Amino acid sequence: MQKKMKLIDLSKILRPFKSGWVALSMDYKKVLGWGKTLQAARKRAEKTGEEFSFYKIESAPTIHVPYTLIK
Amino acid sequence: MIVSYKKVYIPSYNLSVLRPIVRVAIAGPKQQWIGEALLDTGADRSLFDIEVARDVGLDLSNASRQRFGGIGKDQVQVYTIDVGLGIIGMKEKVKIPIGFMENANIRALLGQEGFFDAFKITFDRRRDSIEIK
Repeated sequence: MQKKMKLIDLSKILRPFKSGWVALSMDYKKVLGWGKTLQAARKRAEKTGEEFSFYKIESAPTIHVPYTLIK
Repeated sequence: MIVSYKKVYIPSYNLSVLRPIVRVAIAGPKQQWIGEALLDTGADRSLFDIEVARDVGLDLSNASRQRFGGIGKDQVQVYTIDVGLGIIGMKEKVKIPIGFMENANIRALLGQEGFFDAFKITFDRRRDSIEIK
């Protein structure tokens, strides 16, 4: 029987950010850059010399719903 | 490949939720974008923020245009082109239609057309895991 996986908990490191983009370290342990725009977050993260992965903070008060093609 | 669910924080509700999020790479003429994308079985197509297209240097001038809607009445304009995409940790790369949206509360959604055609994905929320083949 497959064991329960260890969750990746981003909630603590994302908590200080209310909007915009963050650049996460590849091990998900720290935020290497933040910006209102993706470009600004990239610029800050690139200065660290580490690899990173982007995540956009949800600024509008919505719970996620799927998107459907209308026309 | 097996990856775990991610626990993310939603500031406007001051709550944390578990989501099936995977790390993907998008290729463009300018550079590569690596980011966290939601596996969204309810989305007809993969949808990304238009900032991603600009970041990697994709030309959307010849993109096809459609309107997409969610649970409410609002609709958004989407610009769709075929884009090379890979899941970080897997060798396989696919070329799939991705719609890019301006001013939407959308980051990166991986939807049915193209993405779920290319990968077999099994969700096991009881064990906080997602298997991708």
